[in-house]
Amino acid sequence: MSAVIEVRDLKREYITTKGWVKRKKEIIHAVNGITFEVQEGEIFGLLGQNGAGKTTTIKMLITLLAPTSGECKVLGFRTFGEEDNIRKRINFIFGGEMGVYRRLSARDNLKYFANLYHIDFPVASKRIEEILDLVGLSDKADLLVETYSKGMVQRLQIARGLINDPDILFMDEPTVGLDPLGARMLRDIIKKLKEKGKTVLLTTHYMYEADELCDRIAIINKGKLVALDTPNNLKHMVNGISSIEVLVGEASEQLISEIKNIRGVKSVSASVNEKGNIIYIKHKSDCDISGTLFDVLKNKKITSFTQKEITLEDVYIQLVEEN
Amino acid sequence: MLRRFFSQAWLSFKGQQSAFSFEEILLFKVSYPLITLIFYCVLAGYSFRKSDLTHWVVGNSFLLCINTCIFSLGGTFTGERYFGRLRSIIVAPVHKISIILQKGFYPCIAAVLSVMLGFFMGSLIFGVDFTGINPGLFLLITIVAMFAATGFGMLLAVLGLITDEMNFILNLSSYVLMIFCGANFPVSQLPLAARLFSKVLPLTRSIEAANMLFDKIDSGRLTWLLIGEMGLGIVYCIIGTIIVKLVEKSAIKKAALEVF
Repeated sequence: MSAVIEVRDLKREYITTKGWVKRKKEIIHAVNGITFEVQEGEIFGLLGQNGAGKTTTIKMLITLLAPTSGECKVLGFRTFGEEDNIRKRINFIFGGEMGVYRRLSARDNLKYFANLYHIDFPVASKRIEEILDLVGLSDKADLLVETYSKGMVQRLQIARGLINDPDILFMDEPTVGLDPLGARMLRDIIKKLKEKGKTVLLTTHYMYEADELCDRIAIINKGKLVALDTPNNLKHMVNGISSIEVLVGEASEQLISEIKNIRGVKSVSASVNEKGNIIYIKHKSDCDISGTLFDVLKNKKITSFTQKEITLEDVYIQLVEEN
Repeated sequence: MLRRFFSQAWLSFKGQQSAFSFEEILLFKVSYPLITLIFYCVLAGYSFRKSDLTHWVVGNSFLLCINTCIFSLGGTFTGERYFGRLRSIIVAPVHKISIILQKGFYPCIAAVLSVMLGFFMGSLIFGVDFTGINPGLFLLITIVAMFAATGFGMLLAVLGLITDEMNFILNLSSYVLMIFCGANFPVSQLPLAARLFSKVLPLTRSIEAANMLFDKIDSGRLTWLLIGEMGLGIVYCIIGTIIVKLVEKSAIKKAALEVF
């Protein structure tokens, strides 16, 4: 296997100006010196919070944005300066409902995008039918896109991304807006692409998705790379940490603060669902906190108490919080 | 290549117009040019106290037709940017100039047809006499004017890659043409600098040539005007083709293709 994506000390700054009279320049370091390589045939995940620099990185890789400095190569060519050698062989799928012609049918949309890639008409016709079938839009292919549901538009986006049979597919939160069946369909498509030897770089906020699909994952935070490894190895990074989930009737700030003060506790967070308040606690495995925790939670109506395996989400949260 | 051009042009046109019925398109395409034509002709009639409004009917008909072409071509990337499709176009290997021409092709044809209709209706209202007109020459002048307008529109469209203020640029261009190309004010009455400026604008020569058809035809002058208009169109096309790659690079560098 050879590296089809090479990123070295990649930086991208955005300069904004504020004020009318006294103009003040502000520099935002969206991507701040990241380095990674993606091998041919690999599914590579890029995880990070909103604003971490994932989309900016993808935009630089798909030749839509120039790096401020550093090296950014796809298929051995620089993405800025040698983009003509890259564009025919890559494509991208961005989440959301933008990017297609809403007053054309799905079939016409795909014809249009096939023409942008100079695909021969017979090849394009055959491929369009195959892709429509793959994304489950065959029976609605001649309806105007403006009559589609959000999920159907997203399926069309996926079809658009596959129209030139790309060697590398870049996906930025591709399952946003998809229902569970649609999301499953996309994951199956990604797996099929891998079987065909295609390379996929994807960003997602769904950790289980990254865990299921990716061969390797890079976690970026504030424009910097904080971890890069296989999902299993990443989980081992937080060895020595255990996780507890408690469902309680109330989770006041004071309670959270009391739990945080228990010796051995690394982090505490809370959320609310229809059953009550869930408190997530990460603690050192060699510290048994259960006794103290039960004392703190006394009279708090505990509905459930679960000790959990470390997940990719735990790793992600810990790494992001640490950085 | 030609098949692909027409396929893309048709899909683009279909994508823009499929929401409207035939009657709506006809009403919009004909009524707007006609009302505008009537407005300028009535204004000119009162301002210059003339009863023969032939020059204004001809000039404004040309102007409306060419304006539609310039707006159709010039706004190519604005809509794409607004609907989030610009990135698909930029990242694809297609030449960006061909996108402009494909998207402008059918709107320009529609503009010619609709404004021609408006022109004849306006002519009926203002009593323009067509009996002595050479229709072949009139068509030739229209085609040459369209070519120059296409070049001008293409050049403006390129700017759409780097700015999202195309509505301002296109409206400004439209008013500049209205003032300087001779449709409403005789070029000879403009100050020297404005007269020189009018020479680098599309339409100035076409309007003069078209007006000549209603007066006395000077073949030498007419040929010279048409060659000049063609030459101007070619220059616009060459500049547009040269700068499109530079502007694209600049937009990629400055992150101007989308709101990032």
